[in-house]
Amino acid sequence: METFDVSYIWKFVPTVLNYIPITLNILLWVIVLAIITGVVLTIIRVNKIYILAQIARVILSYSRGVPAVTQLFILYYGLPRFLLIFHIDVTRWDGLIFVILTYGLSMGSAVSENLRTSLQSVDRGQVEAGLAIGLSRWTTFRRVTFPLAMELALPNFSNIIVRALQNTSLAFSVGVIEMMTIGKQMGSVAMHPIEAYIALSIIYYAMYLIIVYLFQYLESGIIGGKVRKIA
Amino acid sequence: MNKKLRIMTLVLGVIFGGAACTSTAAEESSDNKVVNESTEETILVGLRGDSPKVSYTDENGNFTGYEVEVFKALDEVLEDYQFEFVQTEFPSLFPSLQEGKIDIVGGNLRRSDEREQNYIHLTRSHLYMPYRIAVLGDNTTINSLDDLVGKKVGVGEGSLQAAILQTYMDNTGSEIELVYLSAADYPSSLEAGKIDAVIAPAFALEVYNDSYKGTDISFKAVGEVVESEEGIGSDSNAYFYLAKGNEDLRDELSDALYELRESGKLSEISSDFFLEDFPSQVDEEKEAEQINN
Repeated sequence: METFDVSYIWKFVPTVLNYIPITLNILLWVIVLAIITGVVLTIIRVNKIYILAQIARVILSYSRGVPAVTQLFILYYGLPRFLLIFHIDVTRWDGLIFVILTYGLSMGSAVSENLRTSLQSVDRGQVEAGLAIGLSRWTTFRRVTFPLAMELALPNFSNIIVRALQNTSLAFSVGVIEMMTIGKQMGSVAMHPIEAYIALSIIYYAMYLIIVYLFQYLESGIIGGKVRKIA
Repeated sequence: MNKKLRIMTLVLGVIFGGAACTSTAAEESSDNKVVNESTEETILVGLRGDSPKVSYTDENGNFTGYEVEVFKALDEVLEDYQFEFVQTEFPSLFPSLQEGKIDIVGGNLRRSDEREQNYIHLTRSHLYMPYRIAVLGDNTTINSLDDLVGKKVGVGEGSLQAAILQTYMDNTGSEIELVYLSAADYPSSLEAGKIDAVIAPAFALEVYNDSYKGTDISFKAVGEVVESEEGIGSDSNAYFYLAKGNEDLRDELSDALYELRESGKLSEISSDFFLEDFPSQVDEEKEAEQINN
């Protein structure tokens, strides 16, 4: 076995750190798209708009049932072919776009599920009270249902974002150069893959801790009370 | 809203905004286009990112390696084209070629039945990559193909290596134990004694010795070149592959490559990466064999 050399870990870390902006960039766009998708899906499902709700359910099922990597490749190879029927050529699009589309949709389903269950878990009593004192349906939603639902949904959002972060590490399979890509390559070329993966783990874990801390801070602020440890 | 939430949004906005800005900067600086006039046609070159000496990212973050530099040289010679690199994992190389996501691929590719059927390759080779029997430097028992009988031999990706050994076993009625490994595990497996020998491309030996520099482990090639008597397995040249239908591009690139080889430019590039002058050793007879196809 190539001797395990701890010094390689410290050699790899700085180079990987250079690619954090790209990973964050992917994460940002995925979150944005996920929120938009999630909200749209939730609206469709809560209001049970007939055909759209069926489609939504299919999309949801697919996103949760098929592994993320597979979804990625289906979109990466499949979407261009599909669009070619309409004479739109997206074959040469940067892999990055496919990554964001795939995970935006996938995480969007998770967001939607989260929102839907949170909304449904809101104490009916509160809603009725709001209506009883004369608040309009929309105002009740805005000032009663929504805040209460957010309180319930927030912890889960941290899980979703963490999952999105882990998913970015698969972007290399469609040619995107981010932390995982460069880490694997360096490890391969230097013939010290283990040290490279350890370096990657350290950085991913650090990012995970930051996200968790962020959410703890948020929760303590909004709920105004107990700070629950999510880690 | 809540004050904390507002602060948080602001902070996150700055972080992500900064990320978005610096990441575009990072992309631009690691861009590998050789900038020229915009009237040129862009050719997307799919290469591995993890092939030492051949296509990899160096300590300074530059994508380089023998194949990379060959394409850069082609870029300079061919004014009508502009080459852009796309780093892909090895299993994705051909599917991406198939789907039209890239125009040409490299990756130390020899001819194989499957590739002959579905793709076309340049009629000129950029590298001679014969398979050799590789053993530890202090090995004295294995000196030829015959000595592999009864030994454990590591073979890999290309089933070509396994196929050649299989043919040998069928012809001589002897047994060689084939151990399937990924190429990256070859040197460590040899060192650990898990296998007695591997069948690896000649240039790979330089990679192994490089990575064990400063230790007392070394690797050497023994015996003759391992290749088939005839047919596809007898062509030890490496080629760049294109999707079918690109015959004109293939011919243009092949001619340009030939010129680079004849002028010694390829050998010059090779000397930056390899000790041995592989480009000049290209088996022209085998190359010519398929020009007539």
